[in-house]
Amino acid sequence: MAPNNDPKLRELLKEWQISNAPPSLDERVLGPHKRWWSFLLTGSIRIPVPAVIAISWRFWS
Amino acid sequence: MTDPEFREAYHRHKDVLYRFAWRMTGSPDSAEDLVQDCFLLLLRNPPGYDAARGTLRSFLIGITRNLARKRMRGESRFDDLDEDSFAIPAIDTDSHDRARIIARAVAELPPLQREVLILAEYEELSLEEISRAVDAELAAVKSRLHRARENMRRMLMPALFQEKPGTKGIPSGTK
Repeated sequence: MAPNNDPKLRELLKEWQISNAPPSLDERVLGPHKRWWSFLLTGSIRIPVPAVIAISWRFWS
Repeated sequence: MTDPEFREAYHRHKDVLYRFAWRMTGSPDSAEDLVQDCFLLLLRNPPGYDAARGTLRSFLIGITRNLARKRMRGESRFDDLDEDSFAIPAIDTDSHDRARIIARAVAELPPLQREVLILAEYEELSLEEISRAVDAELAAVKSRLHRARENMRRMLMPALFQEKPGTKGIPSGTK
């Protein structure tokens, strides 16, 4: 730290304290936090059409 | 930079960047925007960081500082001149809210002095780290910091000679 030889000034400056980053910043930077099981309710998967046809054919035959 | 590395960097440095941006701009909303933009830049261009040239913290402070300058220039609140003859009158401290007085005094400083004062006094960075963050020679940083402290003493002179509320001595607000 750069030395401040005036302890009175240093002490006075420290009276101005501000809060840390709010949780809303986490969401803005990292995206909304999702619970692992939310995929079961809202998730989706992509399946290639040939795979769907093959599976359907096996299922119905 | 992998996703876990990015998250680790974010959680480690978000608070120092946020406090720095808030104290530079005087606005928590602007601080939030600036820190978000800083990490978006890191995400898009991680090779921009070279560990051989300093810590990730000073690199990120440097990005935030440049973003803040850009924003303040847009609002005509940033003047690159680091005037020696910058004359700041004493601030009227006839108020019980000393934190607000100090915030006002910091905001009155020329930006180049303000940024080194914030990094030295509030974030406790070394002179070398400040020099990397603000992209200035060590001698220039020392000089700006000296002038910033002198200006703060001048502005806060009345408050310096008042006792902190709740302590023994002359009550706050008494002249």
